[in-house]
Amino acid sequence: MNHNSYIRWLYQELPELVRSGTLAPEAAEKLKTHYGPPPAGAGRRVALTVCGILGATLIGGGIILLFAHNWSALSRSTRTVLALAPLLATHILTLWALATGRTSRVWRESTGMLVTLMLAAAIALVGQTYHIPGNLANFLLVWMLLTLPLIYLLEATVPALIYLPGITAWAGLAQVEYGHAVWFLPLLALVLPHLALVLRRDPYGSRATFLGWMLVICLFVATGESLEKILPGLWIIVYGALATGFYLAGRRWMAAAPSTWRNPFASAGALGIVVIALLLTYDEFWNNVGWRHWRTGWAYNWRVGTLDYLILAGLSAVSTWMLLHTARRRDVLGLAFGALLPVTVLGYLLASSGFEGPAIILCNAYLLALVLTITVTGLRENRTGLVNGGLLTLSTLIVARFFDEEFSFVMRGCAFIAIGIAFLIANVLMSRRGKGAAP
Amino acid sequence: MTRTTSVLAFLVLAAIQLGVPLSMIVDREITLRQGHAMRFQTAPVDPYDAFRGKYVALRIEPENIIVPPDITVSVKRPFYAALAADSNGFARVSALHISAPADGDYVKVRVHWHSGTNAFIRYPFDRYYMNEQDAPRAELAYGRNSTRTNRNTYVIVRLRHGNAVIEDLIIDNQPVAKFLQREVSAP
Repeated sequence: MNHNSYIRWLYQELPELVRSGTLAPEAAEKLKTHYGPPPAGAGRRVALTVCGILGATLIGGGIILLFAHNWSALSRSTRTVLALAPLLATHILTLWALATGRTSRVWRESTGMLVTLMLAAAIALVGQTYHIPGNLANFLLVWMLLTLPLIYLLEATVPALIYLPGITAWAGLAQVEYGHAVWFLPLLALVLPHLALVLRRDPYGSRATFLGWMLVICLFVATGESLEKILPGLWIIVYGALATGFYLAGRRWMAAAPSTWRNPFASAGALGIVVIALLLTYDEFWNNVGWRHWRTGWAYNWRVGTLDYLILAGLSAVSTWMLLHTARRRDVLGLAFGALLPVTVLGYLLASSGFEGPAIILCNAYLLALVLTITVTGLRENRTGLVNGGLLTLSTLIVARFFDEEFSFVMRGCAFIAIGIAFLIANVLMSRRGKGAAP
Repeated sequence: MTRTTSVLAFLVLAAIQLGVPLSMIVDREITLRQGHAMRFQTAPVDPYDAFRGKYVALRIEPENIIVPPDITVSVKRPFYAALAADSNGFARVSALHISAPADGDYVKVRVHWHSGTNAFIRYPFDRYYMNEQDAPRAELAYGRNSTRTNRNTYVIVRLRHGNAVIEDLIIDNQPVAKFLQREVSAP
């Protein structure tokens, strides 16, 4: 695990600790010896990497736009040479970098980005030159499969950040074009070793954070695209298990994250849990779900549909296991968020049996209980962000309910004022506690 | 991974990455050089494709064909349309097969809609790429040259072993590029 940011922080703190007498100068020196010199030039390295990636993106994007212009005046042979020349040039550049030992992050990410973009440009320009019919799904699949080895060969994350949305877009197009997107999961599995490597090296570094957010977002999108949806409403439990799994995994294995941004799994999982719970308080999502409304037709492939149940079983098993682990640790907040999974299962069973009303009441009750748990935990642990998050969710729930149920203006007004007062009181209390705790 | 292994592995990857567009080029070049030319009547329009610039979208005729009684049509699988020229020299579907015929001109097609013995087919060529300024002008030119009394637009397609590559889009008996050039130079 890379502690660079902590070491930098420690070096910043040490002079003040020594000056105030909190730490003896000898102890400070021992700490310096123990942790080694501060990682120098990190900011410059990041800036260089960002500039390198941006430069490669702009050059690559510019070349793609020039190709899109289509020089009709050029002969077919000139255009085919032009299609392959930038790809060949980036290959030579990458080979030279590898052969001469230029394997810094800037080189790896920039060349990875350039090769990925030039590959797309080459395939697209050949398609343009020979008027090859437009099948975006096939184009994306070929592009992504040829990009994948770059991720491992250059150990570069930027191609992975293109690969993930690439296969997600492919899943959506494949569902329309071929009637199923059964290959999404194997395609996803191919990039997971890289994610594991990055997470193991520095779980809170920029690469892991960006990759984590991209994975979470793509999985939230692609899961819905991949489901065959023969059994209506199955997505409710699948998404419940997915959000729960992300949240509990982030909470368990990335608990030391320095910020919510650096823990994409817990942050996106928590947000997903709140959004799903909020959606399920509407009756539209509970209508016509369950085994009394099986779907048939050419777009619903029964063999591929079996995968829905495997995804459901796999996600539910992992999330349940993590939920049980959370229960053993008596982690109340984790349990409150994780309870979405049993709530969706119970709600689905109720709605499928014709009891849509109780399912909706259950989800309203769950969201209310979740909001209260978040707020109370925030107050207890003196975490303003948590309290405000809880109250914000409560406000959203009330706004949603009031617009939904058409309560009177007076009732809405009173509820908003009450929540507004609660916001202010909570923040004043937290602020006083903070001051009281100060020396 | 050692430096030599990295370089060798990247060389293999680069060869594969270059090989894919190269094989696309070789396939089409052979078809264009050795394939038999056929004319297909068209109906161009002008959509936009973010990846590849502008093109003239083609609706190839004949779209509506009669399905032989021994074939069960499906939108899920490809079929092979055997082709012959009609009295005007335009391609028509002479037969529909479930596997590639041993000889003659044919093209792989997909059925996108069918009812009874009628099937609407989609050909493996549906666009003609042009300069972004020329594509809308080509579409306008089509409007003037494709009326009920004046049908003067078609594509020349080279066919070889089921592969089909568009050679040119013809408007008013001229390749589209020449037609547009003449339009510009005309007083």
